Amino acid sequence: MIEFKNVTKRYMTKTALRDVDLKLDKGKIIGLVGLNGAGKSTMMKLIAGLINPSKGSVELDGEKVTRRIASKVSYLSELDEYYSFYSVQQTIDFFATQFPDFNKEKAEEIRAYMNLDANTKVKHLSKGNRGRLKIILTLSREVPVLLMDEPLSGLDPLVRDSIVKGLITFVDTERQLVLLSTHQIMEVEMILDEVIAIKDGELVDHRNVEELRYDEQKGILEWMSSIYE
Amino acid sequence: MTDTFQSSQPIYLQLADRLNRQIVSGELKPGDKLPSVRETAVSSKVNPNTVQRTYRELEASGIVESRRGQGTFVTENEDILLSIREKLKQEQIQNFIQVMHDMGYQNEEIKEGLQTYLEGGARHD
Amino acid sequence: MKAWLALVKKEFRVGLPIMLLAIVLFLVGLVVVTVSTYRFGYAWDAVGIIGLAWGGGHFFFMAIYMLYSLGVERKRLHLWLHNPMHASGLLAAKLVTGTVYMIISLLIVSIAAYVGGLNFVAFSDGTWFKIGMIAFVHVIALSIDFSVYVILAYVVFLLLGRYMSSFLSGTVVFIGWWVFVYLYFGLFSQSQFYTAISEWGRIDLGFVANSLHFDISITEALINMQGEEMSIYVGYYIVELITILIIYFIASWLLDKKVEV
Repeated sequence: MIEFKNVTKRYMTKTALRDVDLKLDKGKIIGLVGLNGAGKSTMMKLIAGLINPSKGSVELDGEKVTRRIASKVSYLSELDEYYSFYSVQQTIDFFATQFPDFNKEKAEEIRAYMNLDANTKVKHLSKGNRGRLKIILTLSREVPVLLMDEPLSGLDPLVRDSIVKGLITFVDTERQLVLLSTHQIMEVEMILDEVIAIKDGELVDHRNVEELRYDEQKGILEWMSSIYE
Repeated sequence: MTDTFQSSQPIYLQLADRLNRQIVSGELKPGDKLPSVRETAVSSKVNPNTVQRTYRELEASGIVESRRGQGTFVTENEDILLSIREKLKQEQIQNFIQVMHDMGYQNEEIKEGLQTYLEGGARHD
Repeated sequence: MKAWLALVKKEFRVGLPIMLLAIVLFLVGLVVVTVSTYRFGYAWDAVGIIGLAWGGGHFFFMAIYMLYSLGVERKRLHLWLHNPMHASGLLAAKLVTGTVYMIISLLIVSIAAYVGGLNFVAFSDGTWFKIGMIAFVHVIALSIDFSVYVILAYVVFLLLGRYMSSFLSGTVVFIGWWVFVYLYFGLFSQSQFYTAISEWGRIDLGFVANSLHFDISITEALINMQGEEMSIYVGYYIVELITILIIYFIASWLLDKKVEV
């Protein structure tokens, strides 16, 4: 469904990704791991069409990705800047107008599940609650691809737990592909189908997690430490 | 089912094991409906795809049956239930004996120890 | 269309501070000028002058509005650009809301200019209306026109920001801006080719005031409005319209294909 063909992304002073070939199938929750600056965000943005490869191509269902792939991709940035004058509800309503696939009932369900007050202004939300809002906005879209860049970072364990449960509850694992980057392996270990490791802009390995456990009796953390030493 | 899984073993097998035990112990009775894939996924905090796979495996072994549109049910087939019961027993014994052998115990010692333990069960329990 | 209208609604909220600022500044100016000239008996003249000046200043309204609005988005490009809509639609929502705000602000200013202006210019009602309309429409049109160039400049600034610091990319755009001004207004619009394509479709506007002469001392204020018979060429307008459409689509294309988050 998503395919990287020999993708390189260069910036002025550094190469963020180098010669990445990768295929991702639908109906999977895929973890993207790597140290800071390894190229995780770059990969996410390439799929979202928010940046362009310097070399090679990124395709979704055989179609070259551009910014307007947003109709098929729900992207959650690691930043949480929303329009500060909107309340939680207004933000949800605004998103609903911009994406025809946005399911408002689902948004309401997730909001209630996440226990987020609808009338609080976005600028008054705590970091944890902004994290919850991001999850609501991303998961409420009925799109083939969900990209979540560090959905758990900087959040306390309780929020992380509710986000992981939210993922299990609200992602349509038969139809949707979820690609999430994270440092918090422990939290997501049990919900990943596949894991991708990148290091210094290069793809190191791409494994099915259950096969990894079956073949090598290794969890993701052990596997990672064997990669990153 | 809130206790965690071992991260170094396939989750679908661990989950299958858990369900088998619940069936053998009677926690889940013949004819009982299993929670839906998503319910199980949420309550055990694992990927729904994994639960799906567990259910498939269990179905293949005959211990559960899926009825179209209704869900997954524990089988009422006595033969299968008995054979699972037997199988789990054998597995546990095998593990136990393996461990004892590894530590160098002889069969006679093991038998004797077991007998003593079981006869004085109440004290040790 | 529904999505775009909803976007327009959001843009009204994003850009509101600029209209409020324009009106508040005007009212403050009005009060200051009125109070300070009241005892000399020129209060109404002052109201008229500040109305005309602030009205003319609306030439910059759209440019400032767009810079502000795009500046808001710059902090959340991942949000603004993560949208299936064509970039021209994203920008149009801003242009439309800015124009509406400018018209509101300009109407308020026009009232002051008219009421105050009655004191020192004796036109017939018909002439007042004609001059007023021409000025009104031109300020709006020129302000939008100017802002389209500013949009392109800002998009280029965003583009270069990927490769250099914002100070450096700002500097490059600033220099590029003046180079463009020189090439376009200094060379191109002086050329015979430009004259040939733009000087057609002459329309006579009749008598139109085109300058004010102030002679103000502490004891008296003399204001002369000078005017002449004026005519315009439709061609100029068409050429300019085509130019800014091209500029607009270049900016949209760059935003769609080249600007990176």
